[in-house]
Amino acid sequence: MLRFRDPVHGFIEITESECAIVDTAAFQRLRRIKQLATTYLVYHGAEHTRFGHSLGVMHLTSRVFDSIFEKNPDLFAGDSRKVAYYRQLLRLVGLTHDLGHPPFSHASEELFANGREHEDYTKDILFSPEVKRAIGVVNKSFQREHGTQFSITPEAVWLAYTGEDIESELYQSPDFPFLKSLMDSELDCDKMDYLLRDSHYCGVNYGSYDLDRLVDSFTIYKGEEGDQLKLAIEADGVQAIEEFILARYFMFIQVYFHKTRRLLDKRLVNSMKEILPDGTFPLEVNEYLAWDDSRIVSELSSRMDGGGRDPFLERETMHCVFSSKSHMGVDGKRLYDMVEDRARQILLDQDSINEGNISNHFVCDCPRKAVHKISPEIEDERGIPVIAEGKAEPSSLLEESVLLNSLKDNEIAMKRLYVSSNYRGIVESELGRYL
Amino acid sequence: MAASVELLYMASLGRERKIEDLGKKKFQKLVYLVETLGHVDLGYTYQIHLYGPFSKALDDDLRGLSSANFISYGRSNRSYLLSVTSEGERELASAGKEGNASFDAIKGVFDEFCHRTPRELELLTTACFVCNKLGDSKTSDEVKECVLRIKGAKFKVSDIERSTNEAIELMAR
Repeated sequence: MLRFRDPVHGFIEITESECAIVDTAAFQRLRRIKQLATTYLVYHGAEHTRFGHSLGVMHLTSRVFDSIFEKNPDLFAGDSRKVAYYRQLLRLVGLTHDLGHPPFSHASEELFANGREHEDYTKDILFSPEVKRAIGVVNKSFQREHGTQFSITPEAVWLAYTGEDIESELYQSPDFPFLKSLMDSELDCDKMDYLLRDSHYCGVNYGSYDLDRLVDSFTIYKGEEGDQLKLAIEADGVQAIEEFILARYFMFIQVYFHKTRRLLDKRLVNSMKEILPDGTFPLEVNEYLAWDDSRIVSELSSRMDGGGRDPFLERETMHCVFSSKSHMGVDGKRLYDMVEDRARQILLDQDSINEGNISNHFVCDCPRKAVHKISPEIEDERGIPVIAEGKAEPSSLLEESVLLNSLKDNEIAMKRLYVSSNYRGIVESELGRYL
Repeated sequence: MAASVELLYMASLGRERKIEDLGKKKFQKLVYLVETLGHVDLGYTYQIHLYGPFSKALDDDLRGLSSANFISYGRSNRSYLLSVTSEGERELASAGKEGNASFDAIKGVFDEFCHRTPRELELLTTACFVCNKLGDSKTSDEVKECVLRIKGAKFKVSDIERSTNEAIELMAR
């Protein structure tokens, strides 16, 4: 067993065979993919990368899995091989889920060609010879210990992450939706890690929550007839979940949707379009993997050495002259639309600005995010059962939490207008009179 | 939200037809059938989940409609039933209810299946999903086997056989 010292989780243990994946070039590339894109230009500590996050998610998947299994030793009919298989599979899903991220993570996803998503590249990378071989090392070690009934393969990892194969035994298993929910639900291990990690590195407290309590709260619900398997929480964990959901909400408003970061992400994308072949990421996986944050910055710097300018590298921001509230609403949108029209007209009235160049001086941004997607109903894919000791019937999380119920169907929805420095004064002053 | 008018139309049909068990689960399954059997492309992709084919994007769109106060949920025992609000009806009317070419197909599928229970639709849509994914190359026994592996813990073998036969017929229509 090897150990990584992690700023969020302390020691993260990893087997030697799992380390074969960490040692691949594709995984090491994650050291050069910033987790939060341009956020480091606002919160200077946010230099962390997808590398640490991936290790953290792997660590959490097995922590959560173990916590559930400890409370439910009859899970999967007590089949110890199956338990070991699912646990190993989940750890690899956690470890590899971000392999396909582009440079600067989500910020540059609009530069994917042919409607691709980062998950498509993750799949290509999982099936690439080097990573496939490394997964084979894990499989060999797993089968040596647990027999050959189950196989750890790129297909299985992909399937448990986000794939589909109706003919696969794993996909057909009633266990499968439960396994997937550990990596893809409102309470998944991805969110659990990134909130704490981003909060730590940004130097803010908004993303903090009681991880130990949360992990300890997870259990399962088997349905009224005992015929299903669903991720659930114990009644005394409701406040931990509330804290977790609120942490995410605060992080979106304060960090992920920070006005300067959002603008710099757009600057970055514009700069990247200039240096990527045809302005988009290559489709071929090896060519794609050759792109990381370092190469982007290096190529942009080279262009500047040749006498060019780069608004991203020069951190040339624009001024946010108007921002709606975080929960804009119908009236807020109406006000924003009026202000946008007015600001556009003020700029077009300037001699040097016309329809052809106004985008250099005027940017609109509309970030949106559901506060949470938890359903009030237990018998719903996104419903979360709450199991109370001594009570035969579970209740729904939203029945137990007035707080989360009040945020149901609510979303962060804001609109912002940015104007370049040269015209900030005139737009602000005219808008001041107008408003 | 590309399909908001179609979703509002379906919610409106639910009210007109006085469907008393139209929760999110049943609504999801009816939209799946509209897309699969009615050949109305609303742009949703589905994965087999706990209760049959499920589309995250469709669930997100329903949340968007609720957030905009076009639909609302009322509690009935342990379920939350979906209905179109008067604001939603106004939105539907202003979007030109009569002019939408897909509405006839939506109505046809809705009327055919709206009286089934959510549980019956869970099984039927799972069988349709399996038929769709396996394609024509598989025998009906192979389709049944697959549905049985997915839903065998939850439904009787006889129900699975009946639903699979029906799905095969519906898909061949």
